[in-house]
Amino acid sequence: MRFIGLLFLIITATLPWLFYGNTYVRGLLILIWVYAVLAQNWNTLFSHAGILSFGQLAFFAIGGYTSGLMSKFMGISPWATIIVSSLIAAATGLAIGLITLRLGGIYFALATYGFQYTLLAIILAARDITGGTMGLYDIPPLTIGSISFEEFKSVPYYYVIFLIFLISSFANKKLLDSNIGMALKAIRDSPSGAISLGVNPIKYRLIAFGVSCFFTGSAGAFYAHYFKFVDVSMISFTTVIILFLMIIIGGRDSLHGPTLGVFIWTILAELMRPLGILRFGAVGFLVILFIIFLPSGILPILMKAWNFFVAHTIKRTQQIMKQN
Amino acid sequence: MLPPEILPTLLSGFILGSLYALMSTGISIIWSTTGLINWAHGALITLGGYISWYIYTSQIFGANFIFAFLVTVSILFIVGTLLEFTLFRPIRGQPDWDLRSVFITLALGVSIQSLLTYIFNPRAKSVPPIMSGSIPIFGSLMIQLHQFFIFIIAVVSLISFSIFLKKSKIGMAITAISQDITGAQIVGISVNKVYAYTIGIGAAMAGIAGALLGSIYFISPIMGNEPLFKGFIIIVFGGMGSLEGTICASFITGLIEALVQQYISPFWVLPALFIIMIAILIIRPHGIGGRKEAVK
Repeated sequence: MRFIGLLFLIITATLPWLFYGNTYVRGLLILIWVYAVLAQNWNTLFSHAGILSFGQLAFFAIGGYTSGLMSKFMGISPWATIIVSSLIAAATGLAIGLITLRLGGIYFALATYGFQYTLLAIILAARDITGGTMGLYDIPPLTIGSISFEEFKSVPYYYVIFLIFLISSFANKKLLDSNIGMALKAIRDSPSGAISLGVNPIKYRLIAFGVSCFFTGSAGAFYAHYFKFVDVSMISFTTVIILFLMIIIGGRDSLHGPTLGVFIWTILAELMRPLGILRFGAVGFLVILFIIFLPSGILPILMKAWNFFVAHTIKRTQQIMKQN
Repeated sequence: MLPPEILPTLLSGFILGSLYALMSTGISIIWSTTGLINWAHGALITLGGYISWYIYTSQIFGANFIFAFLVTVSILFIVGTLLEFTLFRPIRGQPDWDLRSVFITLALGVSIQSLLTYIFNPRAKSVPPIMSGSIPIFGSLMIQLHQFFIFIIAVVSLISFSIFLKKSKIGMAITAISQDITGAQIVGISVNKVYAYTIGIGAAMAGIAGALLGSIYFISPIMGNEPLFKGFIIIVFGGMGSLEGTICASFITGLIEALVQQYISPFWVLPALFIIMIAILIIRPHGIGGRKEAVK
């Protein structure tokens, strides 16, 4: 597994240089990691913690707008605002979670979607600050000293979002492997059992929700400084559904399933571009097939194939060594 | 003295409420009987709107709205039962059925929407009015005959639905299963058969709502998205599985919507409803009349 991880790291780190001449693919690669951060943190919530939130894009928008506004109007360095706005997103998440996390399943989903929709209305209403439907322009780009990250055809941006993804993966892994992760799974599988053992469901779910909102917010802040523009299209029900589809395709039982799903979705979406609007239908149909026949996604199959391949190779080597 | 615009506002809220009652009873009956939270209900509403618009404007049997309406309802009933056989039955009873059912219905909704957008391009379409002119109903208050007609269809559908649920054999079986599934099985009700009927009837209600909503507003691929969320909010208000509660809550929601639209702005309708919903949920985490076991 170490080996795969390292290989993956090397490949992904060299990807932008492979597509250095292709503006379109470079843009896609950066978006892939933005989506990967979103999908991963979302999946931690509903697959591992059992919290079905429909409102994570609200925190994405909070990250984007607060970072954009602070760096544009207060002149604070974008690096600082990315961190501060992630913290703001996490704090908002904790406040919302404190109110709504006691609600069960579908009611929580509705409440979080309600929050997201209300935020959309607030952003549109506060036209003087946020630009309303016109969006927020002229957000300062990331810089170090006098060097803008837009040099080298924006490749430095790729490494920023990739770093955010790595930190997010690390944090999510630590969270899920720790006692907190165990408590979360216990609460998910048997709420009354966990409560009877003295596990406080609201407390652990709040922690997971806060962490998830933090990274979702930092992805939003990155998005703002990368495009130098944010608008309300950051919050849309279509994006919510697309993220769900990505997670299902990749596999929701493990940490990196959603990331695989993001890659597969992006490639599929490009391949099916000639289908036009029908490609959403095709992916929807694909997901239905997945849920019925392959509910744990593609990643487990790949892992099985890899394990089989490794076992087979070892066996072959042993046979050859015996023969010699 | 009341402001002059209050009566038309209340009237439009009342008509809206009757349409909301149709679609939320559809969601509610599926939810309370089969335990399926149908996120594709919005797409089914859109499907109903398109089918009735297509039949009505293509004038297969002249411009006969009632005919178009009845065909829509039958098609949606068949679609609903087919969905039960092909999608919902295979995953029912699986360990993470609640999560899977959410995803499968979401994906279904996306597929239906994209298919409709592909077939009838994304431009919004309007249904030509069924009748022109308007009649006075109270003093100087006028109602368009078209709206009045829609309202009558909605009320007739609701009444026949509730009679069906209370008097017919299938209707009583549906109620029995939603109250106590084990008891229903003991007295010999075939659960699978009733589930198929339930989802068919729920989809038919979505078709009714779509046909009527579409002829008051516009037909577009996303016309079902807002009603979907309003339907869920109404069920939270009215309590799951209670027909009277859902219908009452629908009219209240329609009135709130009309008032917010008139006095604040159309855009704040859904946020206002959500805020009221969250406030209600905080006070009563299982909805106003919702059963406790509905909350996990």
